[in-house]
Amino acid sequence: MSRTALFVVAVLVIALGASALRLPDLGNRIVHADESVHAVKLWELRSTGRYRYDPDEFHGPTLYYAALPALSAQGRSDFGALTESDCRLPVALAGVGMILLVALLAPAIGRRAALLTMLLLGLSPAFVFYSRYYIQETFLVAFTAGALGCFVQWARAPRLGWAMLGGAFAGLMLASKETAILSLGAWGAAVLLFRSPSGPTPRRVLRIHAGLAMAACCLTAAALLTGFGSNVQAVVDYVRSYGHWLVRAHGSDLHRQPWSYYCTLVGWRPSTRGPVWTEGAILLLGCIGGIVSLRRPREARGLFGRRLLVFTAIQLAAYSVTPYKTPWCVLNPLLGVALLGGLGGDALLTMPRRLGIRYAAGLLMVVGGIHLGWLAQRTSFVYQNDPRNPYLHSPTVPDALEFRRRAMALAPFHPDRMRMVIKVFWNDAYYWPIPWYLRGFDNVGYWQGVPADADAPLIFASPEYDEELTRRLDATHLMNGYIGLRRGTVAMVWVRMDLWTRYVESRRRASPADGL
Amino acid sequence: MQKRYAFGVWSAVPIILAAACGPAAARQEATIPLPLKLPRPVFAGTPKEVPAGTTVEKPSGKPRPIPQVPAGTINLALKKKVTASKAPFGGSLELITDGNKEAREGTAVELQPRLQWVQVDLGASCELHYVVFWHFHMEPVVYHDVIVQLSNDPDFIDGVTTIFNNDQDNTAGLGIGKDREYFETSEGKLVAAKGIKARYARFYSRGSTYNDPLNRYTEIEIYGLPAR
Repeated sequence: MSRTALFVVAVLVIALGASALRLPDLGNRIVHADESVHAVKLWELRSTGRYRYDPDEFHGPTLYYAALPALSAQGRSDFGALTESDCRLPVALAGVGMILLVALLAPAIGRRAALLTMLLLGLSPAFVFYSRYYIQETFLVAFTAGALGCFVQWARAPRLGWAMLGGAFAGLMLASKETAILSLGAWGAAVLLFRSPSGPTPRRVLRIHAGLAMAACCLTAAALLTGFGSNVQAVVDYVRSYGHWLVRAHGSDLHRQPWSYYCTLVGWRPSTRGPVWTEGAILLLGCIGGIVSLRRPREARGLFGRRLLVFTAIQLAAYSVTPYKTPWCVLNPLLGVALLGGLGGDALLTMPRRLGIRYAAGLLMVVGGIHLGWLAQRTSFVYQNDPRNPYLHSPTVPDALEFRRRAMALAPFHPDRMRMVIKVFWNDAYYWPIPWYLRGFDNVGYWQGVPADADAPLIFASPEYDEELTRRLDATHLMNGYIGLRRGTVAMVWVRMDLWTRYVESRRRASPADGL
Repeated sequence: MQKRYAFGVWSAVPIILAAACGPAAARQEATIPLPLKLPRPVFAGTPKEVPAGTTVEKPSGKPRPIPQVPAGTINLALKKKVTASKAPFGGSLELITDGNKEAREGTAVELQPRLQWVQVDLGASCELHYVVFWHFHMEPVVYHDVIVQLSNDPDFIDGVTTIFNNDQDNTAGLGIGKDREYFETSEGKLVAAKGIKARYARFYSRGSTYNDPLNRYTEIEIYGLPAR
């Protein structure tokens, strides 16, 4: 078997292993508020065929377009039938795709380093966890890997195809999330700081390739952001959105974190009676890779390593100085660390003169890999709903499943069934993911405050409205309990008495009272 | 004569008015604050987070207002006989009416898990105004399916009045209750009996949010006018 064939087999084996951590049981985590917003946006696109970019919220549409083929293949035509797995599947596939795309970087970092990087990404608890999460970050990082891979391939043999494909990946990055500008800017700075020695390619050809790559980037981003031309204004809105995001970057109470947040998130996070969360193996190898890159000559891997170092450092600095922090953003600098880690691992296996040291380093890397895989499994399959898991951000509590259970239990006893009116009165705009759990109900209304006509068969409300609702609804309704939404946030349930009586009587017929 | 007669008729008006209004005014004046002495609290405040699956009402954060009751109202339940659906799991039923409502070890009787009741026999049918009961106030727990009924029938078949019921899903089979669950505190749960005449009071519960499934009673007080 040739070395190339061996490399391909190794890549496929790693991708298969990464799939084993990413694809099973995708519905095992309670839907996060952000995921629910994206699921609703996905269904708007699926049901109307139209996408409209919102410069204030939600980022770009790649997440929605990527989910459409699977929905069509499964024949999903009812929002109520949409599952967590339907939404998360394209993200999980993007997580695996990212690992495959790292293979494109082999000419710059070497095949062994590329395989080691793939292993690190495949086993990283953070990468596994957010590959099972219906938000844009994994798409952004996967497209970043694609753009870097195309850049490397083009640098090796400057073909127009690689330039344009790289441009398309950059466009996909921009169409995924506005913060793509940080990744692109960091890579641009790295390339400017460590320039390639002049090659044989004429400058005119380089300019044409650069121009066409830029055109591919703009066309790809514009096509997706405008909903394939249906809303041209989106291009202007996208540029304007940076003003909004810059203001938002100052952070609200919920999102404001210290500068060291991302370092400690992947560095060392102990938990009470739980594991210590650390991606220490990746960080250690990344540090070694960084040092080795600085010591190597600028030619060959030294140049790319130095660029990676700058790329990673700029991203880490940019995300760290921004007060607004969400844990998934760590994937952006962590991609660079993993690539440097591949270089570091490769150096440990090849540079020491003594064979024993190489074996010892290899053994330590195996132990590190086992630890990462073990922690990734615990993070995504044991602690996926546990507040001790540091990758969970303002998580929805498991009790939230009760929103759907309660509505589904009552609906058969209302004449309108799934068209039964449900009203949600909330004290702010953060009632998500209630809409996800009420999906499939056709008449659900949301109010900030209690409207003049508060009457409805089923009401979910902020506890702040307890006194008002008791005054207005006590004669006709029953306060039927609380349902947890997030830690410290609950909803009150009010059910109209006639509906509740029918429900209770039917239950009593099915199972008589267990009185004395 | 005529003049004297006329004077006599008009002079009767204030007497008649006084006769008509006098007892009502006297009744209004003859009220006193409910003579309830609260036990010492053993914890401050109530939990910020409501226990999932409860309908617990938000605590006001202020002391409960003391209602007015007719003069002569006393705790009729003190030292009265208590029976229960099953023999106690721990402690004796006398603890429920022994007058000791402090949250301390040994002041509460423990009943079996699931739906259980205790019943207080007042000895005679009395006019009842308020019922106060403490399940267990060492911690701010929430008791489930709390039902309070009054009757003159010791078997609670005839003439039963339910004055409190938070068994929303009617698992006890005594009707759907609209009352809310509540945190156990040193204030106990105060329920208005609205002058109902009854000899027996029955209290149902089905465990709590505490770390075991037992039903507990520290004290029951039934305020009313003694039978004449």
